[in-house]
Amino acid sequence: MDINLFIVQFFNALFFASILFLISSGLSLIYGIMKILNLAHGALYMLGAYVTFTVAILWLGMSWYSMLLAYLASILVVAGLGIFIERVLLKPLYNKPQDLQLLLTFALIFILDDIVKMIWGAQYRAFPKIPGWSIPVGDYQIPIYFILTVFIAIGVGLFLHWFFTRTTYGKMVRAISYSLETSSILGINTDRLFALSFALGAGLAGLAGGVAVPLYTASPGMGGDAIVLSFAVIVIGGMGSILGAFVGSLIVGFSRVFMAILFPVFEIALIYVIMAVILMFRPTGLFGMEMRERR
Amino acid sequence: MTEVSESRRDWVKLAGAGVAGLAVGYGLGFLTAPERVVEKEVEVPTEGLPGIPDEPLKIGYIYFMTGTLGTYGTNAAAAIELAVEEINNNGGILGRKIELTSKDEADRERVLDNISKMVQDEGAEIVVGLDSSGDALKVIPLVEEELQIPFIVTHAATPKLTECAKRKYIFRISMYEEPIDIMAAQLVKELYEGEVSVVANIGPDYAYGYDSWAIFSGKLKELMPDLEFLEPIYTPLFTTDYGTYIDQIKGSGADLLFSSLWGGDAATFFKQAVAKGLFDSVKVYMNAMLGATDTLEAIGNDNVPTGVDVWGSGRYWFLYPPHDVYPLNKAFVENFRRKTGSYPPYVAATSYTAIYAVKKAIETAYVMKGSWPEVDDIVSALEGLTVPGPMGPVYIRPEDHQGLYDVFWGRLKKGSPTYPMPILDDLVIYPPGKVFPEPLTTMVSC
Amino acid sequence: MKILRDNELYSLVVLLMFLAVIPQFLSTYNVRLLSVGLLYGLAAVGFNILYGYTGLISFGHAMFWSAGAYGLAIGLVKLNLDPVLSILLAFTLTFIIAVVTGYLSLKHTEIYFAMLTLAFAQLIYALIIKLRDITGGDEGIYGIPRFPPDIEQYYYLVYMIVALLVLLAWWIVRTPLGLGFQAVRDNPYRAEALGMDVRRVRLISFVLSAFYLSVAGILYAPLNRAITPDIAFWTFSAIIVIMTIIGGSKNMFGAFIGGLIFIYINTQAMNLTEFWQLTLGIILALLVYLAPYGVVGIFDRVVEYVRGRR
Repeated sequence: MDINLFIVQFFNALFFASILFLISSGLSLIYGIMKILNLAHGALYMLGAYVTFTVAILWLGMSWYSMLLAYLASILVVAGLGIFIERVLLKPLYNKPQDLQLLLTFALIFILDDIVKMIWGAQYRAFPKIPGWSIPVGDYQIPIYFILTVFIAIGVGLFLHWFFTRTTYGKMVRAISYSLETSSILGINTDRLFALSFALGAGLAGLAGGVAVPLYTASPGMGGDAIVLSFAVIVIGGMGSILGAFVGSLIVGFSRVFMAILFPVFEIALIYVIMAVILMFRPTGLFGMEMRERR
Repeated sequence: MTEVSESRRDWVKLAGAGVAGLAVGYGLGFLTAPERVVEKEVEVPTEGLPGIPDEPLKIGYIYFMTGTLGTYGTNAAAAIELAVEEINNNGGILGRKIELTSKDEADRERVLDNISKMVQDEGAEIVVGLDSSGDALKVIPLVEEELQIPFIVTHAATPKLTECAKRKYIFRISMYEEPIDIMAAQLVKELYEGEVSVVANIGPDYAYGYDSWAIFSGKLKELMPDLEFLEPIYTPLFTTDYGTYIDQIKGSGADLLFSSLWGGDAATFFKQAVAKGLFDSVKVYMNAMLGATDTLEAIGNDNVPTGVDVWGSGRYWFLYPPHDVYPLNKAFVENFRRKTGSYPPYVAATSYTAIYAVKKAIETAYVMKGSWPEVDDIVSALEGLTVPGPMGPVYIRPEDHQGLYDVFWGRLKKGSPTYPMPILDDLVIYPPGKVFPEPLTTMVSC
Repeated sequence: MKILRDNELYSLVVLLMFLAVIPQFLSTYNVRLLSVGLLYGLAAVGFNILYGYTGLISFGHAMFWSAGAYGLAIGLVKLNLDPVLSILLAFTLTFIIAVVTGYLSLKHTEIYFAMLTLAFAQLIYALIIKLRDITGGDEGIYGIPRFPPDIEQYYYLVYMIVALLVLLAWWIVRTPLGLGFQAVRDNPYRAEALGMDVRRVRLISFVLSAFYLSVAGILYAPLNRAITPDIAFWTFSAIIVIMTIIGGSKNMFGAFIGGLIFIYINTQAMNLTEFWQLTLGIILALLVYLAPYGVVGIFDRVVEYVRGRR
C-alpha cells in the first residue's frame, strides 16, 4: 500500500468514526444521565436528516450559509421533539417499571418512521451534490465536506467536554448521573435537567442526521441502520461516557475500514466480537468509570 | 473514442428504425416485432358475456411500502392503481371490475402470513409483487402447494426463481439479473476491447451481489480471457460510507468497474465516488441497476462526471421504446407523471404490465373456454402470452415462466434542462434471444 | 387445595380449551394465523422464564428461535436427515449456542447482559448471512416439508406441544428450581448467602428459556415451509421483548396472551391502514400508559373487582 493510499484510508476511518460519534454521543449522553436506552435515537437522526434536507435544499437552495441554518434547524426541531418526548411521554413512566420506557421508545420508531413517510413521501431524498471541492492527496482526493465532518465531530466533543466540566448546568447534570437522590437532596432541579439532557441528546441526533444527509441518501427507516452500530459504539466505549463514545467510534471506525481492506468477510462480524469481548471483560466499557460508581 | 461512439450510434439507429435483422433466438423484442405492437388490439366485448361472476375480481399486491425501500412499493402501487383505473374505466376484465388489496412486505417476518391473508381471507384470486429475492424464494412452497393461485413476481431478481425449476403458479414478468449481466459482458467486448485491462467489482454483500458478479465476470472471461479480474468487493448491508472501497478501487488500478449496487446505495456510492475522484482512474463504470429513475433522481444532474463512460441498465427505461414509435410507453409515462408527479421507475412499469398480463390471460382463456377461467386456465393462458407493456411487448416463456423483453444498456448523461435527473442516452438494445439463457439453464448454483 | 385457587392456572386452562375448540369455526387462513400466534405466545412464555421470573432482559433471543428454525431446516433440506435427527440437530445447535452465549453473557446482569446477548445475536445474524452454503445466506432455505401437511392438523400438533410446554412452564416456576429463579431475581445477594450458585441458576434459566424459543422456531419453519434471516435480526429480538411486556411479565398467562395479542394487533393494523406502523406504534404507546403491567394487569384488576363485589 503506498503512503498516499494509507493516508486516505486513515482519513476514511477517521471520517466514519466522526459520523459514528455524532450519532452515538447523544445516545450515550441520554443513557448516562437518565438511564434510558433510547431505541428511537436512530429515528431522531433520520428526522434531523430530513429537516436539513428540507431547509437547505427545498427552502433555501444549497449554500454554506443555508447549510448552517439547516443544521441549526435540525438541532432545534429534534431537540424540541426531544423535550416533548421527555416531558409528555417519558415523565409519567419514571416511577413505573423501567421496561416501559424501552417499549415506548420502540413504539416511537414506528411512529416517527411513518410520520416522515407522511410528510416527505417514501422516495429517496438526497442533496444534489456533496458540498464543496476536494483536496488531492497524491492520486487520491479527500472531499472538503468529509474534513468538515471530522471537525464538526471534534467540535461537538469539545463542546460537550466544556459543557459538562465548566458550566453549572453541566456540573449539575453530571451530579445527577452519579446519584439522583443525593442531587435532589442538594436542591438540584432534576426535572428541568432531565428535560435539558434529553433535548441535548436529541439535538445531537438531529445534528448527526443533518451532517450525514449530504453524503448519504435519506429514506424513511434509515435510522434503523444507524442504531445498532451506535449500540456497539457506546458499549465499547462505555455507556454514558462521552469520552467513551469518542473512543468507541474510533475503534469501530478503524476496525471496520481495516477489516474491509484485509478481511472483508468479517467486516461486520468483527464489530460484534469486539463489542462482546469488551463487555465480558470490561462491562462498563473502556471509559465507563462513572457508571461503575453508580452501581 | 470516436470509433466507439460511431458503433453506438449505429445501434441506436437500428433501434429507432426497428430493423429486424438482429434477431437471434426468440426474437420477440420490440426491435424485431414492431408491427406486432402497433397492431390494434382485438376488441373484447365487455358487457353481456355469459358466465362472468358479478362480484369484482380481487387482485392482491405486496411490496415494501415503508422503510428504506418504501419508494419501490409506493411507485408500484401507483402504477397498479393506474392500470386498474384504466381497465375498470373501460369496463373491467370481460365486464368484471378489478378490486385491489395490498400488504406491506416490510413486515419482514409476516410476509407469508400476509400473502395467505390476501388469498385465503380477502379472496384475492391473483397476487403480484415482491421486491426481495429471499421473499420470492420463500413464497414458493406456500404458493405452489397451498394457495395455488397465479402469482406474478414483478421485481425480485434472483435467477433461482425461474432458472432452477419450472414453477406451476409463479411467474416473473420483470427482467432479472442474468440477461443484463450477460449483455454487459458482450457490450464490454463490443465497445472496449483493447481499451480496458483491469476489471473490478463493487456489489452488495448478499446473493444478488455474488450472482451478478459471477455471471458478468464468467461471461467476460469467456469473451476476453486476457483481462485481469480483481478480487470482488462486497459491501455489507447498511453501508452508507463507501470511501474505503472507493480508494481501494482507485489504488488497484482498475479501469473497468462493474457494480450491482442498487437503489439508494447505488446513488450514495456514485455521489461519493464522484466527490472522491474515482472516475479519474476508472474509464468505464457499468451499473446493472442505474437505469432506475428513483436512483437517478437521488444522484442528480450535478453529479454526472466527464471523462468516464458510465453505463446503466435495468428492467425498464422510461424513454424506451421511443415514445414516437411506441405510443403505449408514451401514454404510460404521461399518465404516471400525472398521477405521481415523477417519471416511472422500473417497478412501476413491471407491476403495471403484470395487471395487463392478468387481463389478457383471462380474456384469452375465456375465448378458449367460454366461461370465466379457472386458476389452471389462467396459468395456461399466461404461458406463452405476449403482453404489451411500457417496456415493449413481454413474452412469457412457457418453459420457465420468465418474462422476456428487450435488454438495454445506456450511457449516463445530464438530463437538464428537460429532465430533473440524469438520463440514459445512446441506448444499446439487445433482443432477448441474444442474452436470455435457454430455459432452465443457470450460471448460479441452485 | 391452593392450586384450585390459582387464577393463572384457571386462565391458562380456559384459554387453552378455547384454543382447542376455536379452529373448528375458523377459516384456513385464521387457523394459520392462530398457529403463528401460538408460536409467538410460546416464545414469550420461554422468554418470560428468563425475564419475568429470573429478572434478566435479553436483547438477543431471536438467535434461539433461529437456531431451532435453521437447525431443523438445515437438517431436513440441506443434509437430508430424517425429522428426528433434524430436531436433534436443532436442539444441539440451540444448546451449544445457549450454553456458550449464556455462560459468557451471564458474567453480567441488567443492561450489560442485554447488550452482550444483542452482540451475540447480531454475530449469529452475520454468520447466517455469511455461511450461505449452509444457511442460504439472505435467500434463506425453502422447501421445508411440513408434517402433517394439512394446516388444521398441523395447528393441532403445534397446539399440543405449545399447551404442554406452557403448562410445563407454569409448573416449573413453582418447583424449587423456579422458586430459585425468583429468589435470584428478587435478591441475588440473599440467594447467594443462602448457598445458591446464582450464576448457575441464571444459566439454567437462560438455557431453559432458549429451549422454548428453539421449539417455537422448530415448529415455525415447517409452518412457513421456508425461512429467511429476518428471524435472526435484532428487531425480532425486540418483538419478543415487546410482546412479553404488553401481555404482562408477572406470570406465564400474561406472556402467552402477549404473543397472541401482538399477532392480532400487528395483523389488524396492517389491514386497517396504509400507515400500519403509525397505528401499531400508537397502540403500543397507549398500552404503556393504559396497561403498565401488561394486559394481564388489567385482567387481574377486573378479577379483583368482581371478587370484591361478591
